[in-house]
Parts: sequence; structure tokens; C-alpha cells
Amino acid sequence: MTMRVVAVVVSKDQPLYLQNALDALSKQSFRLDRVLVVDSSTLEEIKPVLDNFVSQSSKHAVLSILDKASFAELSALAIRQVLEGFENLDDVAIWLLHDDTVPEIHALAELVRALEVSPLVAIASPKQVAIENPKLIVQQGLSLTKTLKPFSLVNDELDQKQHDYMSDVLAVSSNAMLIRANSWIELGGYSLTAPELATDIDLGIRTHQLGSRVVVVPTARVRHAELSLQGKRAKNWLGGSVKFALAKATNHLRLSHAPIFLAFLYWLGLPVISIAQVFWLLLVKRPDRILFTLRANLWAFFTIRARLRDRHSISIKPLRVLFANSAQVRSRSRLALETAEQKSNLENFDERTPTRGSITQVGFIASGGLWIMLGLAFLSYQFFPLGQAAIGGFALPLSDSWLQLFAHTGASFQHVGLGLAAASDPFNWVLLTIGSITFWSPNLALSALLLLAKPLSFMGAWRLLSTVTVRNSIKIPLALAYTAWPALTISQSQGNYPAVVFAMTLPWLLFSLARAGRLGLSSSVRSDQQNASWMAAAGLLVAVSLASAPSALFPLLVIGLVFAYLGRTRIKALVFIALPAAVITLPYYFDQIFTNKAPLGIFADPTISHPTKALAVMEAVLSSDKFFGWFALALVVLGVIAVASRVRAVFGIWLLALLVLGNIWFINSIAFPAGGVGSIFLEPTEQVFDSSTPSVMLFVVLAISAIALWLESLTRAGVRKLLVSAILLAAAMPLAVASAMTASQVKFVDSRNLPAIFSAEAAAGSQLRLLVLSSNGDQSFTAEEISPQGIKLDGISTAYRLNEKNLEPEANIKASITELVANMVSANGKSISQKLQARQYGYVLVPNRPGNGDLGVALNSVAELDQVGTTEFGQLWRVKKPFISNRYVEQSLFSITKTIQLAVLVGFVLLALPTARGRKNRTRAENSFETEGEQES
Amino acid sequence: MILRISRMIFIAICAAALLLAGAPASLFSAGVVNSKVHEVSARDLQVTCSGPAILAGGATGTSVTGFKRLGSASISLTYSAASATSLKLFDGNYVAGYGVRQDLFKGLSNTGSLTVVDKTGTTAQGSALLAANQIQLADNKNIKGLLAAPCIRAQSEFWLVGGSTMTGRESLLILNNPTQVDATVDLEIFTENGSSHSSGLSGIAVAAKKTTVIPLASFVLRSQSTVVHATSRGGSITALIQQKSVRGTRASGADYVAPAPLANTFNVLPGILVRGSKDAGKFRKTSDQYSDVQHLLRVFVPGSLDANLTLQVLGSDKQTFGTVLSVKAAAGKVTDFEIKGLKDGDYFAYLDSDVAVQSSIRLVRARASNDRYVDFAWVNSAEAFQTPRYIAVPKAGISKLSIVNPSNKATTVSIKIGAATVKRTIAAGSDAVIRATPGMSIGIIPSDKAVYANLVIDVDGRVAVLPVLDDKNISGQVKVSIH
Repeated sequence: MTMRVVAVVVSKDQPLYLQNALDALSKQSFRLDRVLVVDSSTLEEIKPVLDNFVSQSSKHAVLSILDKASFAELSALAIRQVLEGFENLDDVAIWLLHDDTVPEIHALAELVRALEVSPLVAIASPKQVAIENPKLIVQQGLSLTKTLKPFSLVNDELDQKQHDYMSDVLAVSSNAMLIRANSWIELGGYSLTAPELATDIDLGIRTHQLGSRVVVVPTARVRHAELSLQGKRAKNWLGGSVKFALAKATNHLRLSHAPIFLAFLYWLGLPVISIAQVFWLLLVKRPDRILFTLRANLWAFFTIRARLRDRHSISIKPLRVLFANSAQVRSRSRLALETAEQKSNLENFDERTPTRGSITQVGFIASGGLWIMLGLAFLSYQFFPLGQAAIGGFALPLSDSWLQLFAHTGASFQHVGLGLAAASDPFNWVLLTIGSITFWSPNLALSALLLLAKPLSFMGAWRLLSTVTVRNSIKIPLALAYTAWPALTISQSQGNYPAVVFAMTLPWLLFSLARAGRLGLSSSVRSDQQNASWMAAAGLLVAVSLASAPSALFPLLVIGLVFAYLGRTRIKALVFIALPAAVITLPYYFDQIFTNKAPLGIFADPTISHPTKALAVMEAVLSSDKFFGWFALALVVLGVIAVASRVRAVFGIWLLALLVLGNIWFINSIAFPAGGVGSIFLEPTEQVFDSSTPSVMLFVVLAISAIALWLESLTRAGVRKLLVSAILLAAAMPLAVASAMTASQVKFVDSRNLPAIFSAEAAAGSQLRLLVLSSNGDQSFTAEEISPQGIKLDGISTAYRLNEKNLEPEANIKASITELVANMVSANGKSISQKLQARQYGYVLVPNRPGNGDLGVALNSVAELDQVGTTEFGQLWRVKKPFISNRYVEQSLFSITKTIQLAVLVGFVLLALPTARGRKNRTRAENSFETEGEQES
Repeated sequence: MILRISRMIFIAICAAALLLAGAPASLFSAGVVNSKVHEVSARDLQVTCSGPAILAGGATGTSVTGFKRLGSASISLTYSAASATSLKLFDGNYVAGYGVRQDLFKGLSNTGSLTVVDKTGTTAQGSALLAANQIQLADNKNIKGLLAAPCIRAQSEFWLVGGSTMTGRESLLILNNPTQVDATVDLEIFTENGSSHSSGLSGIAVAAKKTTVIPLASFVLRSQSTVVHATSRGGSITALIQQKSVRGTRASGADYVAPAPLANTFNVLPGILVRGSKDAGKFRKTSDQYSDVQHLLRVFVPGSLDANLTLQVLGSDKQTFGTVLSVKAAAGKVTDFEIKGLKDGDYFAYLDSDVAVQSSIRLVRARASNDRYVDFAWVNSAEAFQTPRYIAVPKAGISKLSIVNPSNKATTVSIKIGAATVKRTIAAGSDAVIRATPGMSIGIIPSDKAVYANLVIDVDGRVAVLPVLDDKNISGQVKVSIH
């Protein structure tokens, strides 16, 4: 019995391709009984093609569909139409073609032969090769991975007949598929509920379940442009982007073909799976997939009834032999990675700066960096964390519990002082990160930070300099000079965590920016994934820097703009990099600008308002250590001389450095109000100023970069050696000695910074508060209310400190406390018990300080107080009849803002984490239905 | 090349300009912390008089068990008698206030307190409401001299700049606790050798309503120069040092060292009224025992930085010429500098220092002819004031008020004695010495400049100097800054 074949061509807005397809059909060696073109085009240009086609033969027909219809619907309609008139369909086969296909002359004949040879074969599909390059196989059979993801068995491989052994497959592409008419009728055609890219596989599975075979015929070849998979068709053709269509297809196949119990679990777990997928995609540096994956999951979750309609009673288990095996997946991974690297290398070919391949860098460890770090750690011997927490100067302990630390971070309402509905300091995110390293005792990591500040700063500076020079003889002395700069040393000795964190972070930030922007020497960036990692790292480091040093906002903005300019087309990257910083700082900025009406408050240093004075620019650069400061200045002079070098970039760097010097002047001209939580234990002052250290360190990093560029450019080795020796002997070493000689104001003790009895009661669950009083002389006093949680670094709020002008809601509380304090300090015998109880005061503390003696005496005559005695923090009184309440207002762990902040930060962390090659490969392989170009976009 | 050098010069100029001229400009302020204010009523003003001189060793001077009071002290007080107030005297009697100032004189044989009872708590406190002092001319074989001290409000901290524990010199620290709460007192004693680390300096108990007397020699033996810093916890206290000199077997001068103001870089010492300077010289020549019959400046330098000092002793009129000392005092130590060459006359002194210091001047008086005596008085640096202050004037002897105007412009001060008010113009950087009417209090009402004042009392040639204080409790507007 001779097979009769009808062809159905599905056309959509591709007149040229369609013309080629129709021409090819007319040249087939096997004669077609009928050819029907089903067209849903909107282009006018298609008409002449169709008219011409119809005029050629009476067997030709066109079915025009004006409504929007899917491929499945179009093919169903067309096939029903084309089969009309056939009384017996046993010997009829349908050849379904896309309009972007050009079958080779014997393609149909080969397919028909396959059907004739084996009555069990219901569907036969040709080898599909690229339309431009017929030697490239673009598809040859479809399958599923073990997790029921669509998998193209052959994808973009050079045709060396290596796949010509193939025969039975799970499914085939709808393009150029030859299917028996009976089978089509019996199967009911393509599923109308399945997404476009799942229809082929669904049909294949159902064909197998009927007991028929699906085969590929390698001898039959069609050229296929794969316009849909290349994303060259209108998006509504696939119901969205290719990636979205694929994700939908995967979900559909899982819900309709997995065992019912697993399918139900999958559907139920989709929300959780979505989160896991987001994490995974970030970890494998594919953030571009997140959106459509989530959309596809939402689609699947809410259209479950439609998915269930495609379920069949027959198990898919027997078909597993036709699934893609591990070897195939691995092979595909390798191939995908090689292709991606080839692409990246081609792109990097035009880079202006040399890449790793052309530069020989001695590694950090090989250059003795670890030994120098060890030496710097020894120089910081004063900061060896002998106690649990560092206290003194700016240093305060963190909350003892990680959960408490987490609750204080990103909070929208803070239980500090009298309470405040405002964003907590962005720096709390930095503290949370540090505290999480030793989550069982967050203070431990923070204490170690001061010890490691210099070694890590050195490492960062070394890395940064490696982007401008390959010579260790230049990198090491300059990195040492940065590390030992007096400003950093003094901030370290004061326990000024924000300034120290900024100084540590800054070189790493500039280094990661250089990497992300592929600027400087020895760029190791080889792929988009690595680039994404560096950009994410830069984003996180910008966030850390800005949170640690709000005073460096302007210079950081300018550096960002310079980065965008150097990259020329990297404005998007700049926005991406700024995202973490924006999400953690914007709520805080909003509160400072609009709630506190203190726009300049956004520049205020975080943490405690330790008394500081405004510095002149020279003072800031030299720091308080004048003698060693002059060594530092000598280095600056050398940096200025570098401007005369041939390296043009030095001039640009110095323009930035001048801007930074201007910023030092600017920030020292802003007086911030003192006060806030914990300030009562400090020397009384009305105004405080930002630390100059961040700007100074920024200036230094620019200066040493300028020097490094100059030294690198010197052609006379002797001069270079002389200058390097001078830097080492006259700047780096004296500064290092000075840093070791600077006395620390920090001591390492336990984390308690309030009287033991109060802390112990608070630990036992008491909700009584502590009222601390201090005299400023001239009938002026300071009062601070301390919650049972005590004074913790993460509990300090800059917004609260600057909130004085806008305290209307708390005005009554303040008036009440003022009256209470005034009556206490005047010891005039007025009853104060009601007010003591109203604020739940359990203790009153007067710090040991000159001028507080009379205050103590006054409190002794207050009938409502009993003297407890003298503690290391001052004289303590107990309220005789406190109001004891068991109501504990717990700081909430989450808020909407915080959730968004956390999500963005976690996302960036996952993106920034280096990913194992294997994981990346697996992701590529599991999405191998796409073309490589799509994957890398 | 030229372009590169031009760039370098441009950068160098800009960097140098920013580095050298980049002084902070205080241009911006990110908000101000405003204190809340509350009006409070004060507790009753109470001043405590130390009482008569104390004899160590009992009546015979040989007892090792206790101290004995010598006679009684004469208390002079001035009370504004403001309406709705009353004055509670030592004996528990009350003087009702009816709006007319009263100067009262009482004898006191032990420690005693005067209290202005103010039921409304709204009457302004200060020396205008109540000021009191005590004098006692001791003429015992064990103690001779004029002892005078202000009656003071109990506080928690005192600096006493004076005293000596050399052979023949005795310094008794008298701690009174007039409150209802026991006080624990910690002492810091500084000498010419620095701070004393003797045991027992901390935790000295002064029971409520009791007096504790401590010989400084028990802590610092044979110290030429002492300064005591007393701080109390629990109850508040008053503190005085009673110093006496014994030359050979004869008592030869005594005085109280009254509390001094806080350390300052500029100290004004009014009331250096020098008399008998020739006789003092004669005494010095007779024997080493009298070698210290010399005016001297005592300075204590707190902290760790040495002080460069300039003492200007200036005469009150054209006939008296003062002297100038430019010296250096070691940090953490007490240093005495002799003030030589002062002839009889009225003087006052300025002490300039580059670091804050505590200072006082020991003024000596001597007569070498019949009724030979040597006496001394400690002149504390005075407090600056611009609001009215009153001081009670004893009935006995001659009292002179020395008022100093250290500013560079003349100022007018109203002096209120009884119902009369006299205006005195004090030239810039000069003083006025006003003879007080015995037994009539003096009100000093500055106008536009802050002035300094001490009252010098001369009883039979013996001398004592009283500071013009302004004791008051916290009242009126109290500022509270809430964090």
C-alpha cells in the first residue's frame, strides 16, 4: 500500500521563509496529495506568496485564520480541513511543517519510507539542520531529563553522522513531523491546553502510550531557521519569551505527566520551589532567568486545572528508557561551556587592557603577602580579642543574641530611648554580617575585626594595586603605606568600627569595580557569570562602604560616574551596582530628610556620638600624630610629582583626589547634634563631627594608585628602585612603627556595659528600665532611658539622635521625664513615684564624673529611691516600688522594607559567591532546549 | 612635557590650597538638640557652721583619744527675711521673715546649721537669702590666732587649698555631715611630692548629723604643702581644714582653709591686705622657726601637664607697688612660691596659667613689739559673680571688703550697707577696698561686669579672709536633655 501524504504548512508573518518552504515542497521527490497553508499572518506581503501558491495547483489550498490562534489550534484546524474528503485514512500521513523550514528534496520520501517499513511507527521526524549552515544539526529528536525538563537530544552540533544511528526517541519537533492520519485522529492532535513548547513532547508521550513508535530519520534532512526558539517571532506566538515558554513547558510536563502524588506535591510546593529556584539561579549567576521562572511558576500554580486536563491514566515510567541520560546531560554541559567561553574570548579580543592571558602576575601568597599580613596582625597586638567584646572609645558591644542583632537590623520601629518609628542605621546590616560570622556570639567576630583591620586592608590594597602594576616591589610598600596610614591607625585605636570597616572595604570595592568594569591589568573576568559575580561583589561593597561612611557619599557617587564613563555603556551596570546600597540607605535617607527634616543628617556617622572636633584638611590628613603624619605627607608629595609622568590617568586620579580633599573640608563643616543612646556615658558635648578617616583613606588610595602608575611607567629601573626604597624606608615603615606605638582606647572585656544587677535582672526577664542622670552644670542635666536590652552597638540609631526637632508624639513623655528628673535633682521632696512607675524605671544611675557628686547627694534624699551602692559605671539607686509589668514588647524580626532589603542583599550575596564550574554547567545543560545565544543573553 | 608639568603645578597648587587653607568652616548644622525645661521648687537652703576651734589631744593637748572644742565661735549671719520664709536657728528657734533684712549674731559651741524654711519653695535662694560666717579669736596656749570660715551648704565635693603637716604645723580636716544620710568620704591628698597613696583615704564614714575630724598628718607626715580633695557619697558634707602653727612651745597663728572654687586658668585673689611687713621680716631673721612668716602662693596643678604661671600682685593705690612672679609648677603636685617684697598696703592678685590650677595665697601678719604675735590667713581665689551677693560682717575687729574688676573696662558696683546704697566705680583691672561697718552686712551688686570679692577681717591685728559665696540649691528652671 502506497502512502498518501498531505502537507500542512503553518504560516505566520514570514513571507520569504514561506516562499522558500513552498518551493521546497514543490520539489519533493515524493509526491504530495494536498498542500494546505494555514496562515494567521497580519502582514500584507504574505498575500502574493499565498496567491501564487494557490494558483500553481488545484491541490494547493490556503486557510486563512484572522483570529489569534496558537500553533496547536492552527494545526488542528488545518489538519481537519486537509483530511476532508479522505474516506480511508489508513494510508494517509500528515506532514506538518513550519513556514521557516526548507526540506531537502528527499526528506519526505525518507520519512514515508520509515512509516511504510514499520507499521508501529506513528511519527517520523527528519534531522533538522541550520538554515544557514546545513552542516550544523540544530535538532534531532526531543526528550526529557529525569526531572521532566524538555531536552533537545542534539543541539547545534556539527553533522558528522555521529547521530545517524538514532531511531526511537521520546518525541520530535512539530516541524516537518510526518504523522499517520489515524494516529493523529486517535491522539486528538496537539493538546490545546499545553504551552507551545510542551505540545511536541506531550504528543510524543501520548503516542508511545498508544503503543506506537516515534522515530527520527537521520537520512531525512530539513533546514530549519528555528525562528521561535531564536526569539525572532512575535512573543505572542510562544505566549511570551522563549525562556518563559520553556519554563511553562517544564511546569506543564511535570504537572501532567509526573505520577499524581509527585505532581500534587510539586504543585503544592511551587511557592517554596520558586524561592529555592531564585536562590539557585542567583548562585549560578543567572539572575536573568528569575523573573520568567517565577512567572511560569505562578502560571502553573493558578492554572492547575488546565494542567490536570492533560493527565492520562497510563504511567510514564516505561518511557524512562527514552529520557536523556546523565552522560548526555554532561556532554551537553561541556559543549555549552566551551561555546560560552569561546564567545567571551571573542568579545574580549577587542578589550583595551591586557587580560590575564598576556600578563604574568605573581600571586598574593607567592609574593609573601601572607607573611606581611601576619606581621601586621602582630603590630595590632593591642587588639587581640582577649575578651568577648571591645569597649571604649567608639566601641560598644553588639547584642548578645544573633536574633536580637537581626531584629535591630533594617528595623522600621526601634525600641531605643523613648522609641522611634524610623529606619535603623544602614550600618546595622554591616554589623549583622560581621556578627553572623560567629552567630553564636556575635561580639566575637566584631572584636576580631580590629585585629584583622590592617591585614585585610593590606590585602585589599595589594589587590587594588595589582590592577595598575605587576611589580610586587611597588605593590607591597604602597599597600603597607595605606595600611599604616595614621587616620586608619587612630580609628582602629578608638574602636571606630564604621571608619575601620570603610578603610578595609575601600580597596576591595575599587578592585571589584575594576574587575566588573574590566578595567586595569590582569582582568580575570572570562565570562558573563564572572562579570555578574564581580558586579554583585561591587554592589555589596558599595553598600558596606556607604553604610559605614555616609560622609563619603559624594566621592562614591563621583567614582560611580567615572566607572560608568570608563565603561561607556555600563550605566545599567552602575544602577545594578548601586541597588544594594540604595535599598538599605533610602528608607534611612527618607526618614532623615522628611521625618527629621535634617537633610544633612544623611551624612552623619553611624554608631555612638563620641565627642569629636572639626578638623582642618591638613589635620585630617596628618591625623593627631603630627610627627609620623609628616612621613605620610611626604608620600602625598610624591603622589603630586607623579602627575608629571607620562601616564595620563594620574591626572584624572588626582582630580578625584582633590574632590576628596574638598569632601574632607565639607564634612568637617557640618556639626551634628550629640546625644542619642549611650552618649550619657561619654564626655558631654553638644556637637560632634564626622570622622575624617573614610575620606582620608579614599584620598590615600587614590594617591598610592597614582604613585603606582607612575612607578610602573618608569623606564629606568634604578630610579624606580630608589623611589620604592624611599617609600618603604621613609613612609611605610615609620608609619607601621607609629601604628604599633599608638595606644588603644579599647579594652576587651565581657559584653556588659551596665551595672551587673540591672543586666542580671534584665537577663532574667525584667522589663524595668534604667534612668541614667548626669549633670552638665548650671542647673542643666542629661537624662537617658535605657531599656532592659542595654546599650548595644546595633541598638544605636542616628535617626533617633537627630529626631529632637520632630518629637511631637513623644513630647508628653519628654515633659513627664523632665519633670521627674527636675524634681529628683532638686530633691525638693515632691512625690515622684507615679512618674517613676509610669516609665517603668527600676534603677537610677549617676555615672562617675566630675560634677555629678551633688547629683548623687540629691538622689540620696529622694524618698522613692534606695541607694544600691557604687558600681564601675557610677552610683546606683533602686526604685523602691517600681511598676513591674510582664508585658514584653519584642522587636519584630521582619517588616516589608526589611524583607525587600534582605531579599536584595541575599540575592547579591548569592550572585557574588564564586560558583563551581559544575553547577554552572548543570544549569546550562538543564536548559539545553534553548540555543546557546539565548542562554548567554 | 610642558603640559605635564603644568598639570603637576595645577594639582600641587590645588592640593596645597586645600591642605593649608581647609579649615573647618562650621557652615552647616544638622539640627540642634533642645533641652526641655521644668520649673522646680528648691529644697530649703541650709548652711552649716563648723563651730569653734578644735584642739587635738583634748584640753591638755596630751590625750590621744579625742578632740575638744575650744570655747565658742561667733556666728554672723544676714537673712533677707523674705516673706513666707523663716529662719531656723541653731537652737531650733525660728525667726519669721517679714520682709526686712536682719543681721544676727550668735555664739556657737559646736557644729550647727541654719535653715531657711520656705514652704512655697519659690523664694530665690543664694547669699541674698542667707549668708553666714564664723570667726573665733583663739588665745589658748595650744592655738592662737584668728580663725574665720564661711558657713557653707553641704555638698559632695570640696577642694581645700592650704594646710601643712610639717613639724609644729597641724592641719585638721573637719568633715561635717548635716544631712540625715550617712556619708562616705573619699580623700585625695596632694603634696609637694604628688598624690598621697596612704591607706585609709577612702571610705571615711561621717555619720549623719556628726562631725569627723582627721589630722592630715595621719596620711601625709611632714608635708610642707597640702591640698585636699574630698568627695562624699551618701550624705553631703561640709569640709574645712583647721591649720595652726606652733613655733617652739608657743602657738603662733591659726586659720581655717575654706573650700576653693574649681581649678581655673585665670584666678583672681582679692583681699591681700599686707600689714606689719617689717615685723614679719624681723621675725624671719630671729629664728628658723619663723622662716615661713612670709606671704606665699600655693598652687596645685591637676592633670599631667606642668603649668606656666604668672602671678601679678597689684596695689590698690598709687602708693603700693606689687610684684610679679613667673614660675613653673609641676603637674600633679602642690608647689609653694614665696611672694617677697610686699610692703604694707592693699593688694590683690591675678594668677594666669596655661593649664587650669587651684591656688591660694597665705597672708601673714606679725607684730614684733609688745603683744608679739604671728598670724596667717588663707586667701582663696575668688568666684566671679555678676548677680547680687551678700556677706555678713562680724561685729568684732575691722573688716574690709576687697572687690576686683579684672575686665579691661571700668565697672560700677552698688554696695548696700543697711538701708544705704553706695555706688563705687572700679577702674579696669583694679580693685576697691571698702571698710565695712562692723555688724552690718554688705550687699555687692555688680552692674555690667563680673567681679571678684573677699572680706578681710582684722581682730587685734590678727587676720582672716572670708570668701563671698552664694549658696543655693537647685531651683527655678532646670534644663533636662533627654536622650
